[in-house]
Amino acid sequence: MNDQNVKDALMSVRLDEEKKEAMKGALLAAAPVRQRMPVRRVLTAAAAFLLIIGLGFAGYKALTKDVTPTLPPENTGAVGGQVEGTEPDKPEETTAGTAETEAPGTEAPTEPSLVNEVNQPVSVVTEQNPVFSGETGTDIPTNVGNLWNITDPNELESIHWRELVRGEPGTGSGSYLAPKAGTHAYSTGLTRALEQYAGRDDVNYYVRIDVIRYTDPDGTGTDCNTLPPDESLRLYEEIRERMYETAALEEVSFVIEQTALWYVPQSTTFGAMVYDASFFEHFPDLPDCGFFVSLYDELS
Amino acid sequence: MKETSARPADRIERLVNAYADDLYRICLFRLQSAPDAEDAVQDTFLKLIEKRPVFRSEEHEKAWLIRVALNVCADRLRERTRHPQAELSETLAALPEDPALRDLAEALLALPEAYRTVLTLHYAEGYTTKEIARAIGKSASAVKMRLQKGRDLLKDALTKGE
Repeated sequence: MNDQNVKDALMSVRLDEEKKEAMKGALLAAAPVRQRMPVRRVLTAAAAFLLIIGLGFAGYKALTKDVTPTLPPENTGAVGGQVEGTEPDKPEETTAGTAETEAPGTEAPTEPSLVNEVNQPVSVVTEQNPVFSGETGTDIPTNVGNLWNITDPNELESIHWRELVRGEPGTGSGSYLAPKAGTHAYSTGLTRALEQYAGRDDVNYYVRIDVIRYTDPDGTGTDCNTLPPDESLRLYEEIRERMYETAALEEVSFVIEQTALWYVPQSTTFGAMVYDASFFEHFPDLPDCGFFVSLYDELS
Repeated sequence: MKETSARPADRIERLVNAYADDLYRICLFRLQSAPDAEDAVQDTFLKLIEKRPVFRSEEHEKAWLIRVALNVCADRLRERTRHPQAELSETLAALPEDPALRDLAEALLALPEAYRTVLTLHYAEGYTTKEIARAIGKSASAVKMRLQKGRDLLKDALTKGE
């Protein structure tokens, strides 16, 4: 036996041509269905478009008013002019007012879904918690529960989040996400849990995503891999897409922040606490990494 | 590497023609089951079609597919605890007909999973230890050891068979 024999033996294993053709047919049949955009996303996109148009129009109107002085009522005889008692709008107020009055129930487009470009999201994130400074490895959590490390622990205590699903590393159960190429970007456990919230707006809940390295206890390493940052981002996108499809919510807000923890409780909004893979650059000695996604809701 | 203009049929044609054999080989030796391997390959392609990731190059695309295929196989291995495995005869039918190559393939198929995968990636895909390490989430030194031990086990198996 030599290397070439092994290679020849392996390379002689091929998928039957007939099966390839059948596979092409199956893939072609599946492709359009799987690529169809969920209705909710279409509606959200439409709402975003209308809102943008509305804001643009309001802005244009405000600017126009700014350069065209309104004559006093006594000079116009109040015919075809403004309703008595109203004052000309200031440009800023008009814009702000429009944003507030046109957006109820459709706040999604006004809020950042990904906050990579600016580290100060408008209203989704209520608190930023740079938990792990990366200075030492001593505060590495041993489980996801220990990731709670917000600025004011009392705040969390007062909320009483209930953990609904939780990943178990190495088992593929619950909401554990194997980071390898993102194929486990969601799990049935998480999906089922999300389905509980379909159409509900009477409960606060959020999803948290923890990217965390863990030691592979049995040495098999089958569920764990290192994750380059670009793939990490792609995985987050995948998760987000899945939640859009599953959760039937007005909005799914994800906050992705390098090496920082965002705590995002908000009614009818998914928040996420995300550690980017680059976080682990601070801990080069840790062998593997994994994703944990946990869904929490607020106990009433 | 963008493929937005390609028709779905053309894209699928290209994907299957370019990668089906490689993925099938990896999945077959990982799963030890031809029907499961076929399903895993199809699932892998479906994930690519569904997610439409953008690749920097064909190598990047292939690496992505291989990693996804390995994950799909891992899923299927977990499912094995709940579902019966396919007939071995179907799997053996997928092996080469040439007696010498067939013996080697069978011996490879009988190795523990950890060795099968690294040997397949190394010999069939030409992956370096570093690339294999990245794909399966182990250290390069661990992969090196597995390769070495895998070769030894393979030799032993073939020697015993003679």
